[in-house]
Parts: sequence; C-alpha cells; structure tokens
Amino acid sequence: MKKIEIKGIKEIVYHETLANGLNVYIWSNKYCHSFEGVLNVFYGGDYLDFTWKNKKYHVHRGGAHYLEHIMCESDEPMLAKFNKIGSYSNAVTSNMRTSYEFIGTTNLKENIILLLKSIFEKQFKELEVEHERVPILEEQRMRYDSPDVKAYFTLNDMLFQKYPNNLELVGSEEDIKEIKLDELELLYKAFYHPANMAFVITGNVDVYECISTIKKYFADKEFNIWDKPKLKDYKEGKKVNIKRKIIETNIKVPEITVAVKVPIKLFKGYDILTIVSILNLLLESNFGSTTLFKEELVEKKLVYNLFYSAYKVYDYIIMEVGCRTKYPDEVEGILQEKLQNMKIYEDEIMRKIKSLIATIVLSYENFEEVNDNISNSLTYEGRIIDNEKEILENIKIDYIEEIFNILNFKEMVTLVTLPKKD
Amino acid sequence: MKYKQYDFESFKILTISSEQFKNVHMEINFIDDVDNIFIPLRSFLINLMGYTSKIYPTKREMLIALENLYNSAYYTNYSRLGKSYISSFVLDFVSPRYIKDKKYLENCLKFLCEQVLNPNITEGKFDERSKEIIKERIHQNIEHYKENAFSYAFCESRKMLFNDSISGENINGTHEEIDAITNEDLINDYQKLFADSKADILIIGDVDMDKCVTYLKKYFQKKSIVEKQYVNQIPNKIKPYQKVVVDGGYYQTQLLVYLQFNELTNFELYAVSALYLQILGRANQSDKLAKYLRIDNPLVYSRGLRFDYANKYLLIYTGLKYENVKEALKGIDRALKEMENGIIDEEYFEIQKEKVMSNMTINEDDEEYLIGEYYMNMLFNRPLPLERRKLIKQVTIDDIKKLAKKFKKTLVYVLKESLDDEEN
Repeated sequence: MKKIEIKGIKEIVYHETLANGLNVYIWSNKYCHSFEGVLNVFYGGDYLDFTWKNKKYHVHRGGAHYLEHIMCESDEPMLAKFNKIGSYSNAVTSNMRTSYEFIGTTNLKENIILLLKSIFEKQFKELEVEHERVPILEEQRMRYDSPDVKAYFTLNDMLFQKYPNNLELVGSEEDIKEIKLDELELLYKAFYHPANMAFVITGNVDVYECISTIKKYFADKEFNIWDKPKLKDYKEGKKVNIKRKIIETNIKVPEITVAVKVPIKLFKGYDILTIVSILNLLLESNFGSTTLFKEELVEKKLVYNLFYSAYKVYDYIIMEVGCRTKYPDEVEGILQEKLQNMKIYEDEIMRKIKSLIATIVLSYENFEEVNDNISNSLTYEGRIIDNEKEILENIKIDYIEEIFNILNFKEMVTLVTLPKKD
Repeated sequence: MKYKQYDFESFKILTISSEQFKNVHMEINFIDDVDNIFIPLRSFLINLMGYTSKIYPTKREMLIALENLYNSAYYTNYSRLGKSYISSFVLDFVSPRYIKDKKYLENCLKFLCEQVLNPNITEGKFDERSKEIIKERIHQNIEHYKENAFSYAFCESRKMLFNDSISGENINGTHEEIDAITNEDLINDYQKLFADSKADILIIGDVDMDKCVTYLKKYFQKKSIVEKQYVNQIPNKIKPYQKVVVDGGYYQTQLLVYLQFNELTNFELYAVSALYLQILGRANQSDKLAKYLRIDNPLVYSRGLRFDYANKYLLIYTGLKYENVKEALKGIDRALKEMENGIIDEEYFEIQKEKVMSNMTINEDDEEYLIGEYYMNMLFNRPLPLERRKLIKQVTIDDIKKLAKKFKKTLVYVLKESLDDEEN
C-alpha cells in the first residue's frame, strides 16, 4: 500500500488501487473506539445525460437516489443486516456521488464483506422497485417542506442555464412515479463498477486486515474493464440564467442571497484549490464575524447573521453571501455593493490564515469527519488533499492581489426568500 | 482515559484526560432549580453573556481574541432537565500539545473565566446595544420552530399536552416576556446566578489537568457555597387520551403519538428503556415500527422516537400522506402491543443488547458525551456507561413487557398537509 502523508500534521492515509480499479483509502487511529467504512460510487443526482456503449441516454431526475434505495433492499433490508452484526448503516445520494456506509465497533471483516456483497452481488427485483416508491415519495415531500432545499435549487437555477443541478435530486413526484426497474438496472451497469468507486475506511482498524479482507472478497470475482459512460458536456455559458428572483417558503424572517458566477478558465495556470481558499479568505475578511461591516449591520439591526462561501461547481466558482434580515429591500443593495467592492485587508487575512492552520490539526481527530473529508476531496478534487496546510502557509498578499485583479462580478444573481403569506 | 474530580469549597472540577482528542472541551456550568429562577430571564442572560464581555465589549473584538487563541470557540448554552436549569459557558481549544506558545493554556482558561466573571456591565448596567441585539435574536428564535414541519408539530403538541406544566413552555419564553425584561432584571439575575447556583467546571482532552486546576484556582472565583440536591424530572400526570387534527401550512402531514408514564425504576430508566426503544424503533429497519410502517406496509420514509424522562413521555413521530394516517396508527398500535406482549425473538433480543452497547461505544468517541455522562453521574447519580452496560446485560424480555405496560397513549396529534399550495 502507498502512504499518503498529510503534510504538516503527521497523519498518514494508506492507499491502494486494486486490479479491478477500486481505490481503497484507510486512515487508522488506535485511540478511536469505532470505525466507519464508506463505499463511494462516483455517480450522483446530476448525471442525467450520458453516452454508454455508443448509445445516448437521458434518464429521469431522481434515478440515482431511487437506485440508492433499491441497493439497500433485498429479502432482508441491508440496514437490518448490518444491525444484526452490531453496526449502523446508511446510504446517501448527492449531486456527484452515492455513498453506502457502516459504522461499528466490532466485526470489521464482516462489515466490509457485507457492504461489498450488498453492492456487487445485487439482484434486482421488480417488487422492490414498487415497494420503495411510497417511501421515496414521502422523502421527496419531506424535502419539499425544507426552506434550505428550496433555496439551494432555486439559486442553482438562477446561476446556471444548462447544468442539470437546478431541480431536487430525489426528482419530482412525476419522475419518481415513472422510474422503472430497467432504468435502474441500466444505471447500475453503467456506473457501479469498482473502477468508479472508492472505499474509505477510517477509525480503529488494522490497515492490513482491511485491505486483505477486501482483496480476498474480490479474489474470485471478475470484472470487465469499465466502459466509462461519457457524460454530456452541457456547455454552460458564462451568463447567469435569472438575475433576480423572489420565492416564498416556510421561513419566518426574510433571507437575501447574492451570488457571483466566475468561470474557472479565468484562472488558467493557477491551482484551483488555492484559488478557492483565497476567495474564501477574501469573503471572510470582508463579510466575516470579525469585520466592521458585519458589526455595523448587526448593531443597526439590519441583519441577524451573515453567511458567505466560495465553492466550485463544475467549470465555475461561485462566491455567495447572504443574510437573514427584516429589511430585505435595504440590505439587498448593501450586500451587492459590498461584494462588488471587496477590499484586501492584509492583517485580517494573515490572522485568519494562522487560525485556519490550527483548525487543520483538528480535522484529523474524529473518524467520521476524516472519512467525510477524504470522500469529499476524492469526489470534488479527484484526489486526497494532502497539502492544505502548505497551501495556506504559502499564500502571500501579492498573490491574493493577483487573483483579486482577475475576478469580475458581472454575472451576479440575487435571491430574495420571503415568508409564505398566511 | 483518566477520570479525576477536584473538590473546592464553592465548586467542583471534573476532568477526563485522554490522548484521543486533539480538541480540549471545557465548560463552566451553573445549575439552578427552575422554581427559583425566571426561565426566560435566565436564558436571556446566558445568551447575552455569550455575546460580549467587559474585556471584549463587541462581538468582533471577542472573535479576534479567539482567533488569536488559535481559532478557539467560545459559546454559551442553556437547557432545562426536569426541574433543573443548567447554564453553560463553553470553550473549545486546540490541545496545548500542538501549540508552541507556553502561555497558551493559561490564556485559554483565563479567557473563559473572564467571560463568566466580567460581563459587559458599566455603571451598573449591561451594555444596551448588546442587550438589544440579543433581544432581537431571541424574538427570532422563538419563531424559528415554524420553519420546519416536524418542529412546528412537536412544539404545538407539547404545548397542548403539557398546558399545565413548564414541560410545554419554550425555554426562551414568549415575545411578551422577552420585551418586558429590563436591564435591572438582568443585573439582578447575574448576581443571583453567582449567589444561588451550584457551579461545576468540566474539562476533557489531552491536557495537563493539574495545571488547569492551578490556573482555575487563580482565575475563577465564586464566594457562595451551594450544596443542594437537584431534581431532573417534572412530576407530570398522565392525561386522558385525546386525538387532535390541526391544519398545517406544510406539504407533508406530521403524525405524533405521545405515551406518558408515571414512575420508572432506575433499572427501567437506565437499562430496560434503552432496549425497549431499540426494539420498538431504533434498530435500523429491523425494528417493529420499521416493520409495520415501512417494510410490510410502505407508508412512510422515516420514523423517530423521543424518550424524554425529564418530562415523562415517549414520542413516536413520522411524516406521511394524510390519507395514510389511519393505517399508520394501526401499525404503531400493533408495534406497541407486541412490545407489551413481549413478542420478541430471543436471539434478536440478545443481538439488540449488543447493538445498544455498541452504540454506547461509538459515543465514546465524542468528548461532549463522555464529559456529559460524568457530569450527570455527579449531579443525578446517573450510572456511568460502564455501570449501565452491566445493567443492560441483565435485561430480560419480561422486563420489556413490564416497562411497555407503563406507557399510556395520551395524545395523537396530526398536523394535516396543506393541499392548496399551488407549488404542490
């Protein structure tokens, strides 16, 4: 196994790629009392259009999520089987990934084998597909009541003209009712190949016991080379879709979100992870809790809070700021203006870099958090981020200025979320 | 993991030192009897003390100081446990093992003590700006539960069931109560906090505890000595059964079934109930509620249980279509009946015992759980996890039957879905 050293914090993640293409990552910590195993399939709710074996497919929204439910079904539900060996189990679908997990304290080998069997020895049954339809519809109804879910997908709809990330990933009621067994089998065959997965195991585990158990399981199993589906290139343009929108949800205090769409190609030749870190530092030093800007807005009772984030969505970086406010009309302009006129506060940024470095130490403590961090960096960066501390330590003010000068704020959207009228 | 208690005249320090954690979690807690305080006022005070202090008179200044302490986090918490109200002042900081600055540990402890001992009071008044900001926030918090269908149903049904007890009241109070709180009330309540409350300090992490105690002796002072037994339960009476259907403004119907109980033995409370809950609805798709609401008859997506010893009820809840409520109630009744009759496979029962203990082990990776258990043991004689494991091993199916018979269904609350939302 290869050792990946997490630079600056003396942590090691072990990695091996098996003959069938499955990537295995293991972080072992003798102080933990428990362990977690997550099998990540790099296939999620956004993958609606693809070409596979020379045929083009357009599938229902919600297919990835429906498949996740069906994978957990069998004569006895997968979750119940894990319960029998003393472990907790769950599955989650996000826009680019479907994850199957166990958390336990004993029977590590049995947990690993049970998870692999559930995924690689799946027998699809028509009855299971019908059986899960009502629970999935209920999950969809539950999510429709969430103001956060509604705001998230509305914002995506405003920012992007073509990306398929503007609708609830569990699908609409109509989608869920139309999904059939053959569609789910197609998705399974196209995407559920070991070469499209990463098995991440963290906690109180023996590295060699893990890898030998996994290898033993696959010893008598053959896989063809993965015929990787070609995902549709949506050719998303740099323009936003809708500049301003008002929605009504279950919230009780109005919320304003202002977001800017920045093409990654503007930063050609730069390390994108560093760019995202710098943009987050810029936002934090202009909108964060230690800024005079926030202090003034809070003291004038114009806002209750301020949130901000810079993140990558396919070929774009989104810079987002928002707040809860009783005065949405007044605050909307204030946020837009501030975002367009951000400044570089050197002292503030340098202090934040120092404090963030301390936080990195804490990121390798809890086995669930470590598993999440590894799974997320594999999904969104395609690798384990082993140099976060180094990135922060190497950020210099002139470099921030260089990045700042490249930024433009032309493509901006404003989402106003108001309380539903009684 | 080393547990150690340090006793001083006016406070105790409970410590757990463990190399497992890179974070150090520290709490200064004050405990009161709810009959001796005005709850909304105390909640207001604790919120205010988490916001600013004499040394850091604005939130911004306080946060800069925390960033300089290597991104430590300071916050306050408050909770009611039966007739006891606990106010907590919390600091989370990176273990000094990773920090070169020799004064770092002392500075962290000094910071937390300062927040408690030196609130933002000038000329006998709390800073008016901070007070107004906190007031606005509490008003917002009081409304917050309406943003989520389950939270709304839960709060409204509790008010209905406990209309004659503080179990139904919001710990933040009402809008009217908050508006009526004056600066003078807050000053008086701060003095009362130090005079009438029992204080305890909790620390867990990879840190030299003897050094911590030395610094705390230097920076933390409390004159009054309070020795009192606190009660962690409200003596709510079992109500007559009622079923209520209320129109809601949400997409999904919420179904809540309350069961109340009188007295439980310690064995039932600390051991039997854990297994009862596991088999009824916490065994990850193999429990009775999963069987009758999801597997045999797919009516719902998720189900939940809330066992609240302090307010003496068990709550079963789920979200579903209104047209399926009747069927779901039948399923819940059937699951409860099987618990009463002890219809539990023996092998399955033993597996669930192991699972309950495994869950306890998983929790042992959580600092706050470990120190919280130690604190509850000291305050209310709640057995420590090791002792609870021994008790759990002794539970039989007959014990489950006996406990099940103590639960009486008293309220079925249905928050009916709204069908006139055009987006639905």
